[in-house]
Amino acid sequence: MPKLTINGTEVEVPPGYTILQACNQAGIEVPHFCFHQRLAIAGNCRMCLVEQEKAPKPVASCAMPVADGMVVHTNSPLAQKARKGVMEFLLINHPLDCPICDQGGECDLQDEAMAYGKDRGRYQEAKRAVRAKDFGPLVKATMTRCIHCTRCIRFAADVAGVPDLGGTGRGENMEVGTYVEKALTSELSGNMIDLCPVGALTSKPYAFEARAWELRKTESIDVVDAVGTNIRLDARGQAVLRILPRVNEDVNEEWLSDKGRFVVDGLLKRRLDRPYIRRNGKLVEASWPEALTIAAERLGKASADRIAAIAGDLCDVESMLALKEVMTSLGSTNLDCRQDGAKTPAAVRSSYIFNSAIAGIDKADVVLLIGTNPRQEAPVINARLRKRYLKGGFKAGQIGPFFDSTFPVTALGEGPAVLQALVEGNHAWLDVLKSAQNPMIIMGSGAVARADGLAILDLACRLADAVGAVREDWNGFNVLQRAASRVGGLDIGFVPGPGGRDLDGILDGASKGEVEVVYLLGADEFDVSRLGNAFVIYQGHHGDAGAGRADIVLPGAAYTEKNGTYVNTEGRVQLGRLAVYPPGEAKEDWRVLRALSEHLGRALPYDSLPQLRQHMLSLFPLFAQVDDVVATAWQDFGVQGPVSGADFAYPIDTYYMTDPISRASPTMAECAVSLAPNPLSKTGTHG
Amino acid sequence: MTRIFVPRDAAAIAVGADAVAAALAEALPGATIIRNGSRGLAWLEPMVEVETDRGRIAYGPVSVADVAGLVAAGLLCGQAHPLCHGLTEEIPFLKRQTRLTFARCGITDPLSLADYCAHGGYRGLERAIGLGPDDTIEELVKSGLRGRGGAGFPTGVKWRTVQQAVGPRKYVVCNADEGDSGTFADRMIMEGDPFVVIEGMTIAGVATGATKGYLYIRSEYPHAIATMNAAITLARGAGYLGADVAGRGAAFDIEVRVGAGAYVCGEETALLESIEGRRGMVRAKPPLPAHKGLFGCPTVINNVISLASVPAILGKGAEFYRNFGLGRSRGTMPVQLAGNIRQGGLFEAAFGMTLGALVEEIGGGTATGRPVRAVQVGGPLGAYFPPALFDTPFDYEAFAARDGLIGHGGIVVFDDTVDMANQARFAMEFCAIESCGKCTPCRIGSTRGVEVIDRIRRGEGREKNLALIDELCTTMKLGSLCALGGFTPYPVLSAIRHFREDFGVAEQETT
Amino acid sequence: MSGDNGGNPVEQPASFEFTPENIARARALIAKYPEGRQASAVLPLLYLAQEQHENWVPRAAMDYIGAMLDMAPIRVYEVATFYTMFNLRPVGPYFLQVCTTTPCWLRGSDAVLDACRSKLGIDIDERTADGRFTIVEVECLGACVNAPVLRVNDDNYEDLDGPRTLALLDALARGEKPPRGPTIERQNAAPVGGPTTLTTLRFDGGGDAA
Repeated sequence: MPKLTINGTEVEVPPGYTILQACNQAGIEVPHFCFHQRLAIAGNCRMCLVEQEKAPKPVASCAMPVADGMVVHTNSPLAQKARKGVMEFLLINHPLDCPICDQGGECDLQDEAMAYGKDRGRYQEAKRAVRAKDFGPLVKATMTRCIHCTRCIRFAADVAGVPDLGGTGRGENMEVGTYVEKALTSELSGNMIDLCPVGALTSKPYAFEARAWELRKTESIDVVDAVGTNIRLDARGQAVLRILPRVNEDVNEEWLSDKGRFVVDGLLKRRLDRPYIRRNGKLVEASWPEALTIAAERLGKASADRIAAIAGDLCDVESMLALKEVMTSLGSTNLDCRQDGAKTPAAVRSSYIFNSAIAGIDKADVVLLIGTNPRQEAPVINARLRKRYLKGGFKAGQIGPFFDSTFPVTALGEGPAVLQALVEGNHAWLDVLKSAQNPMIIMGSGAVARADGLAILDLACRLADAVGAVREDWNGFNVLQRAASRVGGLDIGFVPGPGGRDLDGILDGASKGEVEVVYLLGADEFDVSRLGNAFVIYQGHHGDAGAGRADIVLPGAAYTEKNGTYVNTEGRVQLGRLAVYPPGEAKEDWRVLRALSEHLGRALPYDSLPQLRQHMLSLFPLFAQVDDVVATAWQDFGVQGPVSGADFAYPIDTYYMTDPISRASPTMAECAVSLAPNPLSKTGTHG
Repeated sequence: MTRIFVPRDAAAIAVGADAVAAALAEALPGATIIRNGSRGLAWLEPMVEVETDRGRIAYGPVSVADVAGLVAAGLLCGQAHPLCHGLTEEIPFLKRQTRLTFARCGITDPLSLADYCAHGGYRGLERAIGLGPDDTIEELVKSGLRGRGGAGFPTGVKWRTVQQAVGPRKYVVCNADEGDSGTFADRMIMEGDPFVVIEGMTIAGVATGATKGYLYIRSEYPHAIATMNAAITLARGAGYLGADVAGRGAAFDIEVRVGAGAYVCGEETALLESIEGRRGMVRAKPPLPAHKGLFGCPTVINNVISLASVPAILGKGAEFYRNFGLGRSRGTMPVQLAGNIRQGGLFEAAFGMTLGALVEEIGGGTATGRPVRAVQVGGPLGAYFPPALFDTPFDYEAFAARDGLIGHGGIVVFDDTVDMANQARFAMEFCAIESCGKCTPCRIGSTRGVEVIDRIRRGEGREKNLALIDELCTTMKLGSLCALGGFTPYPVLSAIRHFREDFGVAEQETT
Repeated sequence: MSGDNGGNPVEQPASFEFTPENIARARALIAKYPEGRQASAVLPLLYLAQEQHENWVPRAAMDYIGAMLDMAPIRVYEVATFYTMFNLRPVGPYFLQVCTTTPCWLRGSDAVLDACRSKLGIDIDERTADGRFTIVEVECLGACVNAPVLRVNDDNYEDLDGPRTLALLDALARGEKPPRGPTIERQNAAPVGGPTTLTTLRFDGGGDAA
């Protein structure tokens, strides 16, 4: 390992480190704009110049690899002089419109100008200005503020894999943009806002909403997909105003999907803020006691096999457990958390999680996608796959209809027949998988959400075994869930008990009159018309399909309004935290169920969240391992049987509208219209 | 049959060489007209030469109207005529030169391989193949050859780095993006002796293990592009390029690549970006092109003149070559004289002649006849030297010691009517136009530098703004990614330092 | 002529494709570069498009070339706007390139430029109303010996000054094609007044040079 001296202190760093990385390791801060650890090195802003002894002039520390015996001064007069010169240049052109700039207060340029800037300019000529640009509904471009660091260009090209942005023109006339005006088409475009070191790219929906220092920051977990992206909720008063990603190297690195970020305005729209009871065909406002009394009456008087509960995609584990226990206390085992109709067996955990963990993607060399479009189902995981592809020595195959992938995939076919051929050894790609060092299979949630789901699982399980995807030191069998609640729901067994009805059974029963009362916990993603004449109790936070069909509405809390546990697709237990209180009379969901149990005369054995969690831990010890992936044993799963000839279908039609919150969000609605995928790109002529 | 030489060099064609050649062919059906390269006596172009028993006799500049008179006077026998200059080799401008790199230029038919070989061509490659890669490179290191593009990095050391680098493939890239105003050596050799460039690239390929060469020529040089393409086809046909070079088992081939108008593409990493089909944006170094160059592979990237000097070095031996020159500047340098100069042209000589000798003796002073006031050496990024510095020997270190650079060997002469403040402005403006826009100091500094100099020229706060331009230049020097931004301060600061009076005149006039 | 960052919109043709002959040339150009590096051919292909399309490259051509080379359109726009030799808006059949780099400039290129401006009533990077003339400013054309130089399409007109530039433009406007080369009574590149230089060379130490 090379040793170098930085500011008089000897530092030993891994070979290949840049001076900037070495400085970071030594705890020495070097200002920079263009450098970003997750992007390719550009070396263009020249703010990170340091003095290196024996070099003819200051070197850009972000681009200079360390060498043994190097002597570096980060704060020498020469380094200071160079940086002050660069800062002065940047400020010549920068508009200094901080008072009306949303970046104010969290702006790298502002911060560094405090250290390296002068209090007045020595250049009086007109500042450079560029024409306004429109990057679509999410990212607001004020390119006059741009300092040409090119982070956004590199992000779009490398991380997002959607090369929309570039630099056109030359020298002083160079402009960062799309050249031909168009909206950014990535599901990760919001990250450019975070990456932009100045106010050139800011959040369009959040424009002029708040100042950074006014916001209360709460660390939480994103629920619009099953990635479990670590987020920060920035709130003022009783409104979450924006959502930003937090760094978690194992999960989302530092990216956040556009839906996870911009869904925020949906939290204020179409909210269920008080109980409702349907009277004469219309939902009318009611009090909690009224609503709970009627709900308890209906549940209590029906026989146990004639009541059922369905949990939706955004539920926290605590409320699902409480609901399960309410139902169990009534003797019902008609439960399902798989509102997409997935056949996943809750008994075998390795059959429904992303066994390799997300970071395992970095080690995979061959990936087979089965019935999944990761770009839409988990944009952040898709970025990780692309990152792996860029590293080289990576192959991807895909079974399912064409989609516009951000990394090259070999199309193997569109239906389960290909999977069957692979298992039977009749497919050329079998050798590709077998010859891989760490083969990986990623199965979409949609691939099991079909009648032959168990047979498909069986095939996938056998394929994993056959190609060596599961070993002592490697488990490359992965299910890419897309519902945040799914793994947690399966973990606590929110599935039919012995003799119980699953989703189809419940809906069939409801339409035939065999199921009288259905309890929907935030469940909106199924065909509610199949509920027949059943009495529907909807507990949730948004007026969506479920509430529209409900006979009683019990207002609950959105994920930003409660403390709750979520288990992501990897099986990682993470805690979401309350940033604001639920609106109006709405309550945290477990409390609603606790109150209901009281009305049923079968009070749940906990009346605080700590008690509930203690209870949960005693039943399911895995929840003790917060933030970790719990080791999961490999067992066979699936049921051998015939598979249908139907092609795989992806669970998402419109990326921007997949749940009650995003459907309520005006921003997501705008995206759904303006960023609808070009139908031409789905002709199958690509790739 | 008497052989008559009429250059095909762009400088000759621009002044009517094609018409002269046609007229001569018509008037002298018995003679063989050979379209040679230029001898570099630009003011005599088209310079027609006739081969006689005494040697080649020069006539020039010849126009179509002169042809009849020349023929009548006995051109074929080298007879006297007002345009006759006697034996070409005896013309002082040529006689005083040491032509190693340009030895054949103007003497041979550029597109005759036989002519090339008859004049010592391909002896360097022959010897290189005999020596093997290690000794070839050692020979080059010993010769002391330094990059002629401007940076002056030892060519042999660069080659050794590439030879030792590991990569799936290796490349040789020849930089013919000769963008410095007032320079034309690359163009002349490509038009006048293209095979020497091919041979130099081939030796580089054989020595470093590269199998493919790209020759990047600026688009402003259509004749050089055509000549090089034709020569490459000929060399390929004769087995000097291709799967089995000269029948000795090594593979090497060359493609010509044409630029599209970007001075910065003369910077080696920007040039590589351009070949790869991107904007000519400078790459941060390291990695050096020798380790990760074209398409991410180890790459030799050299200027045309560096590569064209290699065959002579190997053909005649390192010792022979390093005996020319002085200090760390060994061998010869083709100096290009342009601007307000009487005898513009190419003058190849050993390092060490003084700047004054080059300008006054060789160049004959200014074309206007007025006194020389300033000389810009090394292209638009070179420093302005006043006559007081004319004792500076033409040598990398000697120029560097006086805050100048010899660059690619271009000398542009100005007489005493020049406004040096305007020249300083021009340097900044040139940088602003040609900046790739990647790094902050060059992108912003150049544009704002023009404005600050304008303020000085308008007489606004002269001292304050002179201090400001000095600081601006310091930031550009310290902070720029490449030589474009890093060297633009040289002409600006040298103009201010040596011609300070030009920066105060405006103030006196306006206040 | 590049640097067109979307302002002053140009009427763009809806589509572009190479002629069969140019497709063959394009394939040959692409073959010059290693497998997977076909983007290297973007410059030559842009030249081809410009040659085929009245000396300018429409956006449709950039998109077409991008598709041909498997490059994102923005990557082609980046390249086309970087290099000055690609015209991204229509230019006149008389494409006037005035060199203003040091040697030309110090020999009077300002007067040449001013003559063009005043005669044609347009500025640099503009096209006359009748569409026939376009003026651009270029860096060194490599004709420093006979500076200042104005290049009309592929021909150099040299040793210009203001009045001679006006005369040249008049001739061009009349549809004439004046002989290229020097526009003064100088013989080719010889010093004005005749080739006297050899007799005045001071090589023998007798000169008064410093």
